[in-house]
Amino acid sequence: MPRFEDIFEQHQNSVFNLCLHYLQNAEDAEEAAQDIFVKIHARLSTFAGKSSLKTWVYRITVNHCLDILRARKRQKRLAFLTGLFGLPLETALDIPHFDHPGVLLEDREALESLFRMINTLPENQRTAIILRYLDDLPPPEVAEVMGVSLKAVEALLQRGKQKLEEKLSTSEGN
Amino acid sequence: MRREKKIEQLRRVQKVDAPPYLLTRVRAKIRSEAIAEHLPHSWWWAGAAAFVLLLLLNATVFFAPRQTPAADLVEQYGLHQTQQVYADEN
Repeated sequence: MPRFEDIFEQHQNSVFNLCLHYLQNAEDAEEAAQDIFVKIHARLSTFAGKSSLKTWVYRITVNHCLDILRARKRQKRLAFLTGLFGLPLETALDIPHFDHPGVLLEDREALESLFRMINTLPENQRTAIILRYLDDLPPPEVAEVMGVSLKAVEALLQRGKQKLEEKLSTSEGN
Repeated sequence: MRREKKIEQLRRVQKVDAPPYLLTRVRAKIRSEAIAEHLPHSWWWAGAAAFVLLLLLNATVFFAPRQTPAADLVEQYGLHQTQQVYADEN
């Protein structure tokens, strides 16, 4: 069984960067990375070695980030309801601002809008795009992390890109 | 083509290093979770006993028969049951 400290040393940067790509806020990404490593520590004894350690760590990371985003979505719905009862929206909904330290200042505007569009994609398309284009994983590894076939990944990437292009053309039209 | 280029812009996002002290914070979280998981059994029993005691106390108050019904009190102290203070002269 691999040592926790070794896993941390090997994957701390990739986990943190992946969290950043999903959450787009440094503070939230750090909090998520902490929780992910706590999960990894707790589940280390269940790691059977059926997949590579990297794939296992990536799966835990992706699932954790998607859980956070789902919780945010639920919070948004709740905020809508509390808004109906006259409560101020800010108290019920704490939307984190875009703070991705990997985005250079000159690219910030373009990439922020691109990230905003990625956030509107369905979960599996979003994950495929993030792993392929932002994390630079080769398609077979994306397939392994997502637990789908290589063809399915190619289709997801294709559809995701198509949707992004549609959204880009709409935003350019405005 | 231009749009394709825009999507390719995602590759310009740079990889950053994880924050320092991340491992320290992770270790602190692991420790605090371990403490929460391993609360002594006596604490659980004490909590359960306190809860049962509270339930019993509530039940006793709720179901206890009233010793002095209101009507008895009125009779005992010769209280008026109407709002009329002065005696009717007619």
